Amino acid sequence: MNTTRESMGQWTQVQTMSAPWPKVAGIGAALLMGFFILYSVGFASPEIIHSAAHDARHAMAFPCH
Amino acid sequence: MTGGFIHRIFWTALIAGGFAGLVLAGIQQFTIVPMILEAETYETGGSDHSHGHDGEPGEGHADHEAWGPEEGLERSLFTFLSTMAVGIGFALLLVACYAIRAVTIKSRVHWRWGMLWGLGGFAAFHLAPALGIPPELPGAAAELGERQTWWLLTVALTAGGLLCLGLVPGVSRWLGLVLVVLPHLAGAPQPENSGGLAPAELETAFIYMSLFTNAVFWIVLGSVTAYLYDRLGNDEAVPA
Repeated sequence: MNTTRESMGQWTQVQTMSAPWPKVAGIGAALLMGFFILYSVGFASPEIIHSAAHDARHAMAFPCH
Repeated sequence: MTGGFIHRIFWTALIAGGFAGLVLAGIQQFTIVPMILEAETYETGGSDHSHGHDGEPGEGHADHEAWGPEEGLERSLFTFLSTMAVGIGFALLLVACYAIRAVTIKSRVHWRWGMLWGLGGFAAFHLAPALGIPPELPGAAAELGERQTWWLLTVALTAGGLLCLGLVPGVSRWLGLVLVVLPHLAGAPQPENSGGLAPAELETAFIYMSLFTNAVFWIVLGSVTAYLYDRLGNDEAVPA
């Protein structure tokens, strides 16, 4: 992983080698989970969720009602 | 090592997001929440409205009350939990950005750098949408679906535009500026009858207090996530 960056080609290679799939999957999972949580608390319409998160939605300026 | 990487992402988000959410909810409990409660007295004409905010202005009180937390401690508890959950959600997005940066350019994450990311998050998720749809008290609204769509588009375009401005080399970075400006040229959906039910002074105070508290939240969130992400990853960090 300590390849020197002498040319553009090698730089690309370093990038490819240092982003193994498990890391990509971990980052993808974090993004997905983040969006899911934000959607649930900020946007989901079921009345129960809306009521529970009501004040937080207004306070954080998510469009509510 | 990969397990460490995933632990690092999720623990950072959980701790930093929960902490920043706790701080925000704590501040808002004394600033924003009293304004919401006051606005609700106008929304319901002063009746002892507990919850289930499906009532549109002027619609009166709904007969079928859905579940809502009890006034007082229970309501505060759910607000704290919701705010902390939002904090963790935003933290996951931020940490994912840090991780992508760290994997691609192999530099460490400094807390001051994280603060800058936090300010970017504030600009994308709060400041830019507020230019078109100011933070609203209960009882003020244009059509919800349209506002949500405009809000989402604005957040996405502003975030994409800022990332473009900050990270893309060369002249093409200025494309980011176009993205940032675009939703405001298109214009936000406006309510048909201007003004909500609450007094204008209360609404103005609410807008500024909401922006202020959320700015504090993002600065705390950005710097704490960066600090923790760096601390938890010392084993695999490469000096910048």
